[in-house]
Amino acid sequence: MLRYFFRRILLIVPTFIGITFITFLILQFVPGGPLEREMLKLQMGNVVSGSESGAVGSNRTGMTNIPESALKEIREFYGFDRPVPERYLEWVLNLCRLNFGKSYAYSEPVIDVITSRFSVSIYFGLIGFVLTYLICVPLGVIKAARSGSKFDLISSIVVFLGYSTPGWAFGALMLIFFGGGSFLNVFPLGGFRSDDFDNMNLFGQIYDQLRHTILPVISYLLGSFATLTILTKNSVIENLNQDYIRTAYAKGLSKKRVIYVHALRNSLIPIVTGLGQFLGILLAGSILIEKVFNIQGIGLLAYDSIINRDYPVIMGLLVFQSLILLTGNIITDFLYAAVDPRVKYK
Amino acid sequence: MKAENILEVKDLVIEYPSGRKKFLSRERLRAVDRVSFNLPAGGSLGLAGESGSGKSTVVKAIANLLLFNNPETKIRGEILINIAGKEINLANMSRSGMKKYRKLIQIIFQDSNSSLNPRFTAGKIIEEPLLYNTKLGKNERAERVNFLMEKTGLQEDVFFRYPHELSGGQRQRVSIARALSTNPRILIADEPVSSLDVSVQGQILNLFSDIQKEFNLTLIMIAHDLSIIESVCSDVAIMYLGKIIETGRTNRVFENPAHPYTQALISSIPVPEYKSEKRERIILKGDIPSIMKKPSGCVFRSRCPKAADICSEKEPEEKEITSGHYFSCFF
Amino acid sequence: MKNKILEIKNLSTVFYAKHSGQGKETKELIPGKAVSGVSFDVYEDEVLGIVGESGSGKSVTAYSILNLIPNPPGKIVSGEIIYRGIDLLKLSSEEIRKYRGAEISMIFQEPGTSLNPVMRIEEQMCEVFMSHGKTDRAEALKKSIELLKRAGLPDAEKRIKEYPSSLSGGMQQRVMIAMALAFRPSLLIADEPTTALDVTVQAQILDLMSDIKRENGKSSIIMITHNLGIIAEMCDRVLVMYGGKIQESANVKDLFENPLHPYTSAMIKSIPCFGKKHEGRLNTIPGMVPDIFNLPPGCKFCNRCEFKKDICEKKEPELKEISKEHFVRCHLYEG
Repeated sequence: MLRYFFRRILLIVPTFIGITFITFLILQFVPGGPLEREMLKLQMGNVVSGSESGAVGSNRTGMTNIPESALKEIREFYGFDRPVPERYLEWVLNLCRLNFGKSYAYSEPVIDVITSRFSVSIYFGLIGFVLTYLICVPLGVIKAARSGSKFDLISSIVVFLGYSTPGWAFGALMLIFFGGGSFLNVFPLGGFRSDDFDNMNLFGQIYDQLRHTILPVISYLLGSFATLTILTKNSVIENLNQDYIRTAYAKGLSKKRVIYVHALRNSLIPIVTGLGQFLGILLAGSILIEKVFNIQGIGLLAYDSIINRDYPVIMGLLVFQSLILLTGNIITDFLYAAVDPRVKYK
Repeated sequence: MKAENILEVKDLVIEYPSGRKKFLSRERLRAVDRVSFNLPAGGSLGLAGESGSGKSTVVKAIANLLLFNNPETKIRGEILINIAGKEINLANMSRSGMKKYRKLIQIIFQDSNSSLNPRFTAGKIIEEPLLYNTKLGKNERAERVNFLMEKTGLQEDVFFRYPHELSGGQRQRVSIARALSTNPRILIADEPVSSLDVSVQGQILNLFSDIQKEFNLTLIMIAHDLSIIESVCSDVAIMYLGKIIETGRTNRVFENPAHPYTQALISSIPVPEYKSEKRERIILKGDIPSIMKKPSGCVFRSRCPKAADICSEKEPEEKEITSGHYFSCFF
Repeated sequence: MKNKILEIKNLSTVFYAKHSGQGKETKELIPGKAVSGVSFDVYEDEVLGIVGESGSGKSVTAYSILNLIPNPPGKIVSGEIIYRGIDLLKLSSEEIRKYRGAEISMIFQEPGTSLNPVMRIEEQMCEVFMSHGKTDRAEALKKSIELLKRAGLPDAEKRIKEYPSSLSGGMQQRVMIAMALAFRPSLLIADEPTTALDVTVQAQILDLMSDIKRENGKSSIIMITHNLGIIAEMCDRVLVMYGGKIQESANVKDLFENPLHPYTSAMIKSIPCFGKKHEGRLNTIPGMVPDIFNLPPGCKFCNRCEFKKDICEKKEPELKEISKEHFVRCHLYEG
């Protein structure tokens, strides 16, 4: 068993190299990279300066106006003068020293950019993650135990309404109603904390943080609520039809014990299996919701850095997220073996 | 190979890789250990033994289906079939090489519910082998399907039904008709009636006897119920942990069981007859060991009421008591 | 006359489903009469066999006794189950709990799926003691190990810490039996307890059940099986069920030596009996077991019966006592 997980952890290395190398390679061929951007900037500058000086020139394209030396300088600055494998190797070696390079757009070390954004995303991600499991699993079990009842029906409707509403749309709607603009002023319009957060006392800080948390978290979770609740419900119902449930009743156990001990423990198997990946998805953030609530999270950062061709940041994010997903998978396997004694890894 | 034999199995050994790894090589589990038997054309052999005795593995090897399940299976020894005087070894035959012979050896499985494709109608199921193994035209195929359905006692309306719309007995008849479609020489049936209702079992067993005569088939039947073998098969082989421990004509073996395991098996069958005195039964202790923990010497010694020191030291040789009746035991 | 411990009166249980067997699927749920109008008694210190094929209603009868019919799709529509003067079907779910697993226990066909796969044997054994009164964990564990030893589980102290999947089928059934014996029940219902097991293990389990019955004194067993051999070897009295009804009931000697119902005698003749020579073909019963959603209005067996008369299709015969304690439901014996 231990050997299996040791092997799985070792396997992260080649997988990780594969993912990052392919991405690194693709980035080289995407049009609109930093080199072209610099060139465009220089060109524009040339055209503008040329017309200002009033000189009459036939070469309006400005293409040849960039001196070879400047081009070379730009290439050297971004490192594009060297072959891809060499640069990839250098990137990997730097990575080993936890040096992710410097962001083109922010002129800060990538690691600082990412960690500052990441803490925001982890905050929302973890709260959401814990909340979904705390709400959906018990809800699903109750729905299964009272399958076909009014409670089951109504909660299904609510949950599916949430499932079919896009999170960002719901968020925007909530802001209109509660964000102070047109109707009620219960929640702030967005942001992670208020500007004067540091000047508040402890209770004020907690209150402020909560006010900033509730709407985004609800929007984040709207979709996953239905999935997990229905998964739990179906899983419990399926297990309630198993032979060992009949045995449990025949032994004279109470309905409570039959459902909450016998059926639930078996039902947790598929739920636990989804845990690792679900965590990865939540931590990846959501561009649209971050945009609506003006949260400086990972989703927005990823979006901006792709638009800006901020390669070091893109690669840095890739490292973080692939590591989260890969470890998530291993955690899943581990939990699987932990909840189901029949699962044995070799 | 003797001319009258259609099948000769010689020293068949089948090994699976086990999960555990040894240094450089995988540990192997011997599911079938030096199994040999002959079957004359038109004969019928019953294979009996508890689950885990290797009987299904033997027939799957004969039908060349083992490599589908696990390509790392190792097969040694010979499985010879006699096709029009030509001798062909099917052990380790490749999938493409087997193509020519597959129609000659057909197999019927225990669970007709899961071994028939739920998306095909019964008619289609019976017709399908004809598409790939024969050059019959559409009308000839339909004719053949009708013929087979009649022979297996299926009414015409079954043709358009899907497996889930049929009863267990009807499904097993469809399986038999499907197996017969290519005119096989050898028909293998793996527990063909154990999932059927008692009152339907007899019908299917009779059907086996009928088609065996009519189609001049050689039959290999696996059954854990010895009374089924007694009523259908002329020969029997009793298996335990991958070995045949006793074999011979059915009536001889069952009237004079020589091996303690055969004796125990026979004694443990509940007899549907009223007796005022409860009869003494030989009750074996424990379960059949897993093939990973085979006892040394005689494989049966861990449960044998007669076990002595010699049994753990060496393996008993095969002995012949009456002609064709062999058993492997020191006593 | 021996004491009655259980009296079943006019029990009818239905299952609702959309399927109508052979034909097309129906749109609405229709009731399938799994058990209709079944009445019988169980006496102290006897082994009562219920024999029948799939759909005969034998298992549904057994589950109805402890009100274990899953609802939906099943429902007990009428009847009384009187155990020591109390109608079990009138009890609330909390009240009947006191009887289940204590006064009346059950063991099942598939020991592998009848034990919870993700709970250790220990926990599944101890909870029986702990949910029927105030037993602390340590005492429950001690009693559980004792019971497992009595049920012939080797290394009980070690095995009890394991999960069911690491036990063989025979050992799993021993665990089930040990669990069922926790409170020395006066009635043990065994639903095809050996069908999933190998013959040699079947012999062990049947042997164990006989031993336990002998030791327990006045307890009774209801043995449900399709295997007439097990009936002959284990039972004192037998009910033959077909199409949800009792067709014949007799002591085991009369049933095998003088079967009255054409179904019973055809069954006895049709099964291959070990050691008995039969010339050529086996006797068979034509046709197939009727579908509970599509039962014939008259005698349930008439479509397969060689003695069928006109009346058989129209009118269902009554269960009638022909000789002492030998009942049969057949027009051959009417009038």
